[in-house]
Amino acid sequence: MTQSRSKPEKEQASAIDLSRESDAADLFAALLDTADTGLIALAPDGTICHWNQWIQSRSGKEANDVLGKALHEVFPDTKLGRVALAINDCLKFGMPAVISPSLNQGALPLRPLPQFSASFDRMEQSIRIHPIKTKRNGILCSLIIRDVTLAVQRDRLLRQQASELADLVTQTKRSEDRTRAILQNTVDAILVASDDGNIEPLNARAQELCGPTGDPELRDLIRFLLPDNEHTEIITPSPSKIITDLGTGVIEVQASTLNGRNVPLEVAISHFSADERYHYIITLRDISQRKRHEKEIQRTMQELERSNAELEQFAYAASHDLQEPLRMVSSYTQLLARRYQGQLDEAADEFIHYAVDGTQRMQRMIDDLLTLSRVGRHGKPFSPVPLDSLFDAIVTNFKRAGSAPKDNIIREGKLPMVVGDASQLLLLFQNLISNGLKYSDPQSGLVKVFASETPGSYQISVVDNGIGIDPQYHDTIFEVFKRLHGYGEYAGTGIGLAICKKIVERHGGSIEVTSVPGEGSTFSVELPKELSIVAASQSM
Amino acid sequence: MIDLSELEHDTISELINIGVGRAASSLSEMVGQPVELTVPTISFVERFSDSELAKAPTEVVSAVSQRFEGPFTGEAMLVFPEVRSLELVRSLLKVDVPLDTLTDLEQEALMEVGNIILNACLGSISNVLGEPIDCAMPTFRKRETQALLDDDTSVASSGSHPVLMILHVQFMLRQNDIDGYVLFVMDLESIQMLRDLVRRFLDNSLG
Repeated sequence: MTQSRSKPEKEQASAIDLSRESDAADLFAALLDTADTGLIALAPDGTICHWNQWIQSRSGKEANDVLGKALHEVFPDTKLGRVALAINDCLKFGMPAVISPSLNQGALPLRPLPQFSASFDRMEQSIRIHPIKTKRNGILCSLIIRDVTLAVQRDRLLRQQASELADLVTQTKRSEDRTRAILQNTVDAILVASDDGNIEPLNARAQELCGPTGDPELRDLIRFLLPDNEHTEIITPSPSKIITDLGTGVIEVQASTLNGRNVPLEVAISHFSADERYHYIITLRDISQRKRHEKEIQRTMQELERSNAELEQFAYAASHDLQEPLRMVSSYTQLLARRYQGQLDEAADEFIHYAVDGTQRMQRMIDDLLTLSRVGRHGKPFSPVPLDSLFDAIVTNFKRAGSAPKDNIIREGKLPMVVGDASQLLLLFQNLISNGLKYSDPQSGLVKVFASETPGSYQISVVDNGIGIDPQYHDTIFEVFKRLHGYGEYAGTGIGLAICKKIVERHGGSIEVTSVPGEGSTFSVELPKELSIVAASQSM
Repeated sequence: MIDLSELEHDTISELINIGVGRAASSLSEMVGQPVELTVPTISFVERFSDSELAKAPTEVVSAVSQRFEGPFTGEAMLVFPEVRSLELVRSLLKVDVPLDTLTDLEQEALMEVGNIILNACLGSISNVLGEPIDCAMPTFRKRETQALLDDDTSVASSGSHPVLMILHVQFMLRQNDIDGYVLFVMDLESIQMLRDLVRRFLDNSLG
């Protein structure tokens, strides 16, 4: 660097007379002082023999104060370390040195320019140390110091930005990996179709179904199902391929893979726009398992229906056929009672009384059993039934029978209109009200009926203030022939609540009881506002 | 051409090792972590293409080169495959965010590392043999291996056939070891001069 610097000096020298020592000295001094780098020259003994303007202003040390001193006397913290070693090598062995800012931060204690003082305590420097051989004085040593603070600052900024970018990339990659993993490990096959009819499998399952061992017709099948398929040529699939029930809105297709497996698939199609184009996302769900279950359920249902029908048939036949001999026994015991009452001894009268009572009870049980079997067998088609008028009819029935004191059956509020078999609903509520009265004090017994509503159902409650039911019996009381009391205490066949339950079930509803023994019971009947498919088909 | 006895070869190796050891201790102090430098082999080749380094002719290498003049004249070079040079600078500077290429500041740091090592090798030879050597400022070059010595100012172009003394150097740093080379490119005359000086040194010290 010193050589290249000295050349133009020589050329300029023609303008001034360099042969005159003072001219040369003026020129060199001016050049050194106007340089935008720090220039220090050290004598062979290591003392400072030149200290230019630049280094004066950056170090805050005047030339007069430093000339003749060693560098470490001016900057004590450079006594040991790279700069001192390099100067030593230079003066002793004539070795040049590069002192870089990265390996030697702030090698000399120089002030940074004001604009950097906030982030830098010292100026960042790039230093070159040269041996200068002179004829008279032996080896001198020059230090050329450049301010590279701006470059260091830029480097820091660049690294900070690179680091942020790297973080962002890592984050994005992680999120992408996660999304991909989710997509790949989804049980459903996911494909994307663009409006040009191109269908691309997005995950492993889709690849499997549309790949070389999958169903070769599946893509055509999907194209056929896409809502907007005008732009592409459509191959109408064979009817056996589409097993959907269009009424339910669920699309099901049958894929036949090349390895001979038939896979029923449920198809869901959604869409999105990207790159100003319309795309469809097609989700294919393997519903083999579900289909198997559906078949299983269907078979069980048929089995149940058959066995139910058989049972009903049996109950009907049994009770119907039992009536004939019973009627015979009943008529003749009643005849015996009428004709021989008081003619035999007291014990005979008592025996005849028991026989008559027994046949009457049996008659009632057979009647009730017939009723129970008819709930399923001989139900009428469903129609709207206003429960208010039904209630009025029940109250009238009770009055006519004279079995209840006046005003002990109360309706609170309006009752709703429900859909069902009017005669069965009448039987249902009549049984419940009758039960309520039966297990209450004949004088103060009170039965209240009221309705409440949920979004999907009506709940009709029948509340009495009778003897109540122990919670342990709350489930069993709905079973056939289940009685909690002796026949002498309360009359009844033990079939009434079983009939109620069967009627409610036929209407797709439910019945339950809550009760506090000694305070009364509440029977709640919940009837759906819309009939379930099972109830509706049974009502046909 | 270069007939060195085992003893002469060992002597040169010893001189180089002294220099390299000194460079390692300077570097350790500068970077505040242990840096060890060894020279497992020194070889002489007549053609660069015969060297181990030239086996990957299109590999990009970074080199810090310093010309020297004295009783023997030539060019000394510290050479690394570019990737290794990045590794070296980054382990020395403890850089947490590596960039793809050597930045200006990293390049200057590499120049300083080269300067320290080359100075130490040349200084050690010069010192022990008692012959002063003049060194120029280091320069940096980055190019394919096959073009490494193509330089207008290199002795290679001075007409005479260059001979190479190649030192395989190993940096042992905290995290990793990095392999590089120091090349002394001299003409035949210079290398013979070096041999003569070594012989003289041996004669003096043994005699």
